[in-house]
Order: sequence, then structure tokens, then C-alpha cells
Amino acid sequence: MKYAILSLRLLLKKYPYDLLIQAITIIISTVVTIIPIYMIDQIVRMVQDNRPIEEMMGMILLIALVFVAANIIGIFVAYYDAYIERNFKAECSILFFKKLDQIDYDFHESPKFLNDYTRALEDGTERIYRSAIGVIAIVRIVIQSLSVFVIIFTMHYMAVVYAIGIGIIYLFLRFQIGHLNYKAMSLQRPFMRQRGYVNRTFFIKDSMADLKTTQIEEILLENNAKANDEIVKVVDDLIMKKTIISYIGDILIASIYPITLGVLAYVTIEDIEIASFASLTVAATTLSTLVSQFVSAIGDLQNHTVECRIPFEVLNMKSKIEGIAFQDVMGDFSSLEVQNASFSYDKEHLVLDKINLHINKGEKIAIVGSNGAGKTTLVKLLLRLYDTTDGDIYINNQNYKQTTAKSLREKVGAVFQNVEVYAVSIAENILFRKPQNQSDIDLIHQALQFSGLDEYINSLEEGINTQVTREFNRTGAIFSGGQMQRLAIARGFAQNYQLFILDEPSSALDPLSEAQVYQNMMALGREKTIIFISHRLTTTVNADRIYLFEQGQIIEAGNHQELMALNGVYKKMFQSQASKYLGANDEDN
Amino acid sequence: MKTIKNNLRVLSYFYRFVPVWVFSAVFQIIASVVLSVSKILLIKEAIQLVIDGAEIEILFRSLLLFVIVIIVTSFFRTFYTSYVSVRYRVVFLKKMQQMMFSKVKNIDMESFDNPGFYDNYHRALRESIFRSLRVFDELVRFLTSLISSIAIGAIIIISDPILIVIILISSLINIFVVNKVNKNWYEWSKETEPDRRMYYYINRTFYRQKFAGEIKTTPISDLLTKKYQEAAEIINSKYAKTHKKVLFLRTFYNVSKGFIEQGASYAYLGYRLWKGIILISEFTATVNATLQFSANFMESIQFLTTLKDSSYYIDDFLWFLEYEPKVEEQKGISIPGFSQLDLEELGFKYPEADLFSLQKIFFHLKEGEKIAIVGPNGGGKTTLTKLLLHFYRPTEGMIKFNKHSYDEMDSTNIRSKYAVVFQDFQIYALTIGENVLMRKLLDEADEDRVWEALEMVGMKEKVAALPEGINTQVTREFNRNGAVFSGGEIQRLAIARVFASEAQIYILDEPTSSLDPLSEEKINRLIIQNSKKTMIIIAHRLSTVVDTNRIYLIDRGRIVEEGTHEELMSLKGLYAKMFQTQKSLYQKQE
Repeated sequence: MKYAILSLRLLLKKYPYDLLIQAITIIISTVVTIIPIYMIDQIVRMVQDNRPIEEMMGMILLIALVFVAANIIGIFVAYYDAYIERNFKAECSILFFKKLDQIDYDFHESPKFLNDYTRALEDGTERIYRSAIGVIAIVRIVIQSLSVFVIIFTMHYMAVVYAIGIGIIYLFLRFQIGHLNYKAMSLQRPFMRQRGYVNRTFFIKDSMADLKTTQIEEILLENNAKANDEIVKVVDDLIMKKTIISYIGDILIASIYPITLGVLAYVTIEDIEIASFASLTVAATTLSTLVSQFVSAIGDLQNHTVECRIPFEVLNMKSKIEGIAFQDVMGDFSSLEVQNASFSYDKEHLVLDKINLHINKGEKIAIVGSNGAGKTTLVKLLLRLYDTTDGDIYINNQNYKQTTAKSLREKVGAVFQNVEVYAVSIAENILFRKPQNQSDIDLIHQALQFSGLDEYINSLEEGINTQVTREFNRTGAIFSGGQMQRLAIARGFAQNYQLFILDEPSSALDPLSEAQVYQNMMALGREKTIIFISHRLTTTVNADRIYLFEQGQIIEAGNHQELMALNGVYKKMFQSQASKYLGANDEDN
Repeated sequence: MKTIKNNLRVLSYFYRFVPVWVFSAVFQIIASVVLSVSKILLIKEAIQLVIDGAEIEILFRSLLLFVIVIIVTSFFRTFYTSYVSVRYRVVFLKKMQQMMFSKVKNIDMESFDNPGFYDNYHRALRESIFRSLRVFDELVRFLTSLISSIAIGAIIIISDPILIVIILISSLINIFVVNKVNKNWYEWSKETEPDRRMYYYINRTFYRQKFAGEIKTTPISDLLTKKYQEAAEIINSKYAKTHKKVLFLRTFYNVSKGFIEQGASYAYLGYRLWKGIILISEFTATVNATLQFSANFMESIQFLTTLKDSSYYIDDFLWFLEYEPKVEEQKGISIPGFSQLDLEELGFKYPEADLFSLQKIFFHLKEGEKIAIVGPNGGGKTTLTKLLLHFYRPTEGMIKFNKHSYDEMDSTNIRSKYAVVFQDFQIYALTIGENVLMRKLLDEADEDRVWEALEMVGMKEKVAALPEGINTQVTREFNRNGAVFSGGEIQRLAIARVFASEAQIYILDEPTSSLDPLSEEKINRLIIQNSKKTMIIIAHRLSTVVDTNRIYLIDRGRIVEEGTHEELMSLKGLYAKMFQTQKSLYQKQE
């Protein structure tokens, strides 16, 4: 329930006049509920009292006017209500976007995030809004019910007592059902995921080849059938209970009507107030509807607030690195120093173990080593997505831990192995903002030339304004793996990083393209400092310094000649890659 | 009227797969109608008894009868809602899925490579089975409210036909207004569709883990937030405009409802009561019936709108269910073993393309040979693989397997001859053993096969160290104890697939791109030198192909050079140039 109140507070903070709007809505719905009851009462009374027909028609007209007026006010109020809904949801989403930007990166890599949070956040704003108005809906129904209660109460308290009693029992039964539903859902969820997985896998293009050439489908289909059978089992186990409880609940609710009628009839027979009785037949229907609505509203609110926990948790998260203002980086990049840095994700297994390296402006550094040796983790540390668990990193002699992350990332940038493109224009994918003027456009073209993508982009009808991905239209540009990598390189160029890290930048490129990219990089000269991370030793031969990583440690460091002379791991690796090209004799020329 | 057709089509599938559900639905509808009608009749009787000053016992007898009606009708309704629809939902899903799976398998590759088909296909599946479940639910609710209104309407007509006319006039105005309102909203949704899609896209993007790193380290988050705000502004301003238009329509409707439906009905009935033409009991019962009728009728109109919308969505889905593939899987002779493969003047053009992807390809492969296909990107190497696997039929020339044309052979038989490691291979959330064997492990011999293959690619130790060995789940998709492998390890698993298979010809497309140098060398050695199998290797890195029996260089769809590495080097042509460029990367630049 606390999330319901929090949601409401959030809504009212942004739109305080919503309170007024909801109050008006409540009044109107109450009036509209009462009108039919009142109308019948008056008509029957007038007939019994033999009032003139004009008086009756006049009264009907008046009441009809009130009804129409109330509804019209309601429509206009609904307009503002809808306005608030749309704007609140948009603002809420933006609140979340900004927050996610400022949460430490390790949150995103935790399995909790992968499982629960993504789903919860996607619905987050909807749930918060629904919780907020759910509270108001309950207040509305309570007030409506009270008005009807009062009317019936004046006839005989028994009817009201009965209705309230049923309401409580029904609420209790609903909770039971909710609990059973929740249990069923949790039991079913793993099987539903299994089923969803098979569904997704079976239908994507990439699986087609395997489906046609192997018998993998047998297993997939079997797993799917098993998952479905398990789901049915859960349903069968719990469903009987649920059905019986629902049955009892439905009968109870439906019984409000005849019981109320009975009580009222009993009273009326003793004391002849036919008019009231007539009108209360309508009241009795309204009563049972309201009780049922009240219980539903509570159920719905519970539903929504349960899902609000995670969004609010996220909003209240504290970070240690992101969004905290330390010192900005002073001046242009001149040096980077990693001193005895160690890092582990889970405090058990050291991914990096006492790393020492230094990089000066203008140098081209190569970091090599087999997969899983810690290279990508190093990149994350250099971008200050994580802080070292031991040891420090210094940029221009300033400790990373005292440096604002955002200012760091303006100077230090990375091109990752797995390139992501966004469903915005090519220009925006490279610049990360809308091009404002001609110099922006020139920069984009330079970047494209640099990465070798310019020919392809110029061949597209809309050039750099072409949308990337087919997310929104059928003529969006789709890039091959190699083109994506070039796009990422163009990005890095356009972002003008001073220390540029390339993590396996050319794994999807054919060797000639790879050579091109590499040459272009080297041609950037002494203005840019570049770190190449690769397991392909093409980048090392001309590098100023090479660091060879193995199992989180630097085991060899120096330039190509020095490392070859060491006769160690580097030499072995180089020979295994290069020997086919250079022959057994002339590897170290 | 497409709505009706689509709904009937959906209904037919429900009838086919879960007839129990359909019948229960019918009973449920009848029960609901009986309940509504009984209520009205009860009112009339109760009031009359009260007015007549009857014995309270008689009234209680009527009430008791009504309670029995409640108990019986609730039974049908609850049984339907809580049991039947919940349980048979899953059964329907299961059967529908099975049908879809068997459908997909029969669709030819050509359709999948056709972007027009694939777009529709994708949309169809996105809407999927869940939408048809909703359609059925909505259909049932629509019928319930419609039939209830008709039943109650009948009661009203019997007592007073003029009243029905009044109500119908109001209802017609209602329908007219609802239609116009819906049209306005539909136009809004069409106009704002691109903005709404952007809105949802950005929402999704922010919450996905794979974008988290870039969102923090680049200005993309500002760009996306700005676009979101822009889209929201457009959507909201257009919404406000449409809402204003709708406001007037709804005001008009409310005036009509208030005065015609309510005011006129009450006035008319009140007059008749006053005149003594009807009794108080009839008056009250009829007013109740009118309120009930109006509510039910409104509901059924609303459902009609929802049904129309839903049927629009399931169009694609129904298209898929009834799609007939253009190219049937070929049935033919099965040929045992492998001795030679010949491609004779092979040519291929994609159906929608202007230019040929492959032309005049001559190609020979004998048992035990290791041949390589190299060449620049887009040259046609992957297309060749698809033709060998009989995913496409050649446009010109022919493929001969052991001197038999592919045209005579059975598709399944053809594909069983090959084991392929694709460049964009898939690893499945199944066990390691199943990912290697690509089928169920039936016996110990199968397990041995898997271990042997793992040993060959250097993964045996790592897998043996896992508590569940080859029965460990790959990926953590379902299981926190699933194995997570690095890029290189995954590639090795994929290569292990060919070694574990019983196929005669291995096709390896860029098999070592993610491997570090030492692993790459090991695998290359293994592939080329040690294995006795026939292999076709497609590679960018020419170091991989230096030791093969024969190299085919394909550029722009044609074989431009052919021979051993030494022969091609002495040709001093394109191959030599490519080789030299790659070599230079390992040499110091001056």
C-alpha cells in the first residue's frame, strides 16, 4: 500500500490540481448514481399523491437537465484528466531515463537486473499511474457506496449490514484467489520462459538453417511440449480450488440483491412506503455492483502496487560513480597511468591482478592476450564504469576516483566489439546529436571517409539522413557486421576522443578492410592516443608498446622487437599467426 | 465485414483445437442471459406482492427461486471463467504452436530471404497466438452483452413497444456517435504511429542491458531523451486536438441520452403510470429493464469496436497460418555415402534481383579433399553454400552428387551429407551435448561422440570440470548454473558440431574468427592436417587456406582464380595481392 501512496504523491506533486479534477469526478459519479433512484422515488410518490401531470413532467425535465449537465461537466473534466495522464506518464518515463543514466554500471550487469528489472521498468510508469488513480478510484467508489448505503440505511439497517458483511467476505475470498494466482504464476513462470524461448528461437531466420540441416527441432519441440504440459499441470492443481472459491464469492455477491430486496419488502409490508421500495429496487442493483467494483478496485490496486516496488527502488538508488560531481579532467589528455590495479566482480575471482601500464599522448598501444584474459574489463575501468578494487588509475596525474565520470568520458572513448546502432539517422548515430550546422555535416563526412563507409552511405538515397534499422520503416538501412564496425569507428572519430580505445574493432572485417582501418588509425598521428585491443597480432607490429595479458596479469611488455627477443609467449603467438604468411624464417624483420 | 470473416476464422481454429471451450462459452452466455432476465422478472413480482400486501412467505419463496437461479447460473459462469478458459487457454496455445512450428519448417529459404515475406512473417508472429486468445474472449463478451440486450429488449417490447422505439432512437444516435468518435481516434493513431513507435522504441532501449554501457559513456542518452520529448509533444498535442473534436460529439451524445433515453423514457412511463395504464410494479420493472438494456447495449457496441481493432491485428497472423510455401521440399532418391561433388556451369540469381549472384561456376570435390573458397565480401561465397545445401535451386547449370543430379535427390538426403558451421551460427539454450550433436543424445555411443568432438576442439577439460559435464545447460537463460562461455569457447563448440556429426562433407564458414592466435593455429592444424574428412573452408584470413588441396577465388560471382596456394602465388593475380596485403600487416612499416 505504501507504493500506492507514493505513486499518488508523485502524481500530485507534478499536477496538484488533479485533486480538484478527481473531486469533481467523484461528485459527478455520485450524483449520476443517485439520480435513477431519486427519479423513480419521486415519480411513484407523485402518482400516489395525485399530483398534476405538469408537475411530474417538470420534475423529470429538471432531473434530466441535472443529469445532462453533470455528464457534460464530466466530459470536460475527463479532457483534463486525459491530459494529465499523458503528460505525467511521459514525464515519469523521462525521470526514469535520467535516473538510469546515473546508476552505477554494475547494477546493469547483475543477474537481478536482467531478470526482474527490465520487465518492471518497461511497465513502470504505467503501473505508477494506475496505482495513483487506483487509490482515487477506491475513494470514489467508497463515496458512491456511502451515498447509496445512506439511502438504504434509512429504510432498514439490515440490508446495509448484509452488504458490508458480504463485501468483507468477498474481499477475503479475492485475496485467496490473488494468492493462488500469484502462486500459479510463479510456478508457471520458468515453464513459460522455456516456452517463450522455443517460440522465439524457432521463428528467427538464423535458426532456419539449423532447423533444416539438423535434428535440433526435435529437442526444441520436446522441450516446448514438456513446458506446456507442466503449465497445464500447475493449472489443474490450483484451478479447482480457485474455481470453488470464485463460485462461492460470485454467489455471495449475487445474493446481495435478493436479500436486500427481501429486507426492504419485509419493511415495506409493515409500513407502506411503496415509493421508497420501488426506487430501492434500483438501489439494490447499484449496491451489489458497487460492492463488486470496490473489491475489484482493491484487487487491481494490489496488482499494480506490487509491480511498483522495483521502479521506486530504482528511483531511490544511490550511486558511487555516476552522476557524482568530483573534479573535471584538467586540460587535454597528456598521460594515463595504471598503478597496481586489481579488479574483481564478485570479490572472489581476480579478473585483473596488479596491472601496471602507462600511456603518453600520441602513443599507439596494443593490448593483446587470449579471450577472457581481462582486456575488456580493463576497458571498462578506463571508462570508469567500474572503479578498481585495489590500486589506482591516473589521468593527467589526477586519480580516477576523484574525477567526474562524465568529464572523463568526453576525453576517453571506446569502440566496442558488439556495436549497437540506434533507430535514428546515420548522422545522429555518428554524432550522437542532431547535426546543427555545416561543420557538423562536414565532420560526419570526414568520419565516414575515415572509416571507409562513405561510398556505401553516399549510395543511399537519403545519404546521412537515412534511418538506421528497419524499426520504423521498410527503407531503413541495415548494416552487415563489418559495416557496423566501421560505423562504430566513424563514431569514435566524430566524438573526437583524445584517448581512443578500440576493442576488437575489426573482427568482422575482411583482411583488406582491416588493413585499411588500421592504416587510417595510424595515420591520425601524434594528436590522438590509441589503444588497440585485439587477439589479432596485426596491430602490434607497429605499435609503440605492447602489453601481453594472460589471466589478468601483464606477462610481457615492450615493443615488437623487444618481445620477440624475449622468446616468450608473444613470440609463440606471433609465429603461429604470421608463419603462414612470412614463412618460418623471416618473422622478425 | 472483414471483421466478421476474421472472427469466424479465429473461431474455427478454436472449434478445432478446444471444442470444450467453445461449448462452455455457449452455456456461459445462456446462463448470463437467464440471470439478467430473471432479475427483471423478480422485481416485477416482488413489487406486485408488496403492493398487494401478500404474505411475506410468498415473497420469500420467489426470492428463494431467484437465489436458486443464481446458484445454477453462477455455476456455469464461474466454471467457464475460472476453469475452462484458464485451462484450455494453455491447450489451445500448445496446439496452435505445434501447428505453427510444422508450418515454419516447411517454408522454403527463398521466402525467408525475401524481405517482403520476412517483414509480414515477423509482424504475424509478433501479434501471435495471444492476440487470437483475446479475440475469442472479446467475442464471447460481445455475444453475452448482445444477447442479453436482445432478451431484455424483448421483455420491454412485450410490455411496451413504443418504449423500445425511444430506446432504439437513442441507441442509434449512440452508434453513430461512437463510430465518429472511433474514426477520429483511428486517424489520430495513424497520424501519430511513427511518433508512438519512436516513443516505445526509446522506452525499450533505455531499459535494456545491452545499451547500458553506451548510454553512460556517450551522449546518446541526451539524444534519445530529446527525441522522446519531441515525440511525446507531438503525440500529446495531436491527442488534445482530437479530444477536443470528440468532446463535442460526446456532448451531443450525452444530451441525447439524458433527454431522449432517460428523460423521454421516464416521462413516457411516468405518464402511463399516472394514467393508471400500468401498475407500479410494471413501471419499476420496466425502468430497471431500460437501465439494464442501455448498459448491455453500450457494452456490446464497445466490444464491437474492440473486435474490429483486434481483427485488424490478426490479419497478418491469419495470413501466416494459411500461407503456402512456393517451393516444396523435394522428394527423391536417397544416395548413400559420398565420393564426388561436381558443380557444372552453375549460375544463380535471387528471384527479385537483376544481376546474377553466381555465374559459370565449375567446381569439383573428391572424398577426403580440403578445398577453400576465398574472395572479397559479397562475392557469392555464402550463396554457394546455400545452393549446396539445396536451400535454393540453381538458375542455370547443375549440381551433381556422386554423378546424380540434385534434381533427382531427396532434399533431406542432400542436407544430411553436410555438416555446417555458419558464420552467424546459433548456440541454443540446451545442454552442451545437445548443442554439439544437434539432436537428442540417445545412448553412450552418442555421449562418446560428443566427448571426442570436444577433445578435438580443446574443450574437453573445461566441460569435464563442470559438475554436470555435457548435460550442463548452455547460457543462463533458464538456470543460474548454466555455463557461460567466452566468444572463443562458443566458436569451438560450433566447430565441435561438425566433428560430432555423421556427415561426409564439412562446410566451415570463417571458423576461427573469434579465436585467439594459439587456439586458431591449433584448430587450423586440426581441420586441415589431421582430419580425414572432406572439407570446404570459407575464409578471409588466407593463412587458414595455405595448406588446402585447392583454392577457388570467387569475385563478383565468378571463379577468377583456381589452384593450390603456390600456383596462385605464382599467378601474381588477385589472390597474390590479397595474400601480400595480409602479410604486410605482420611486417613493420617504415
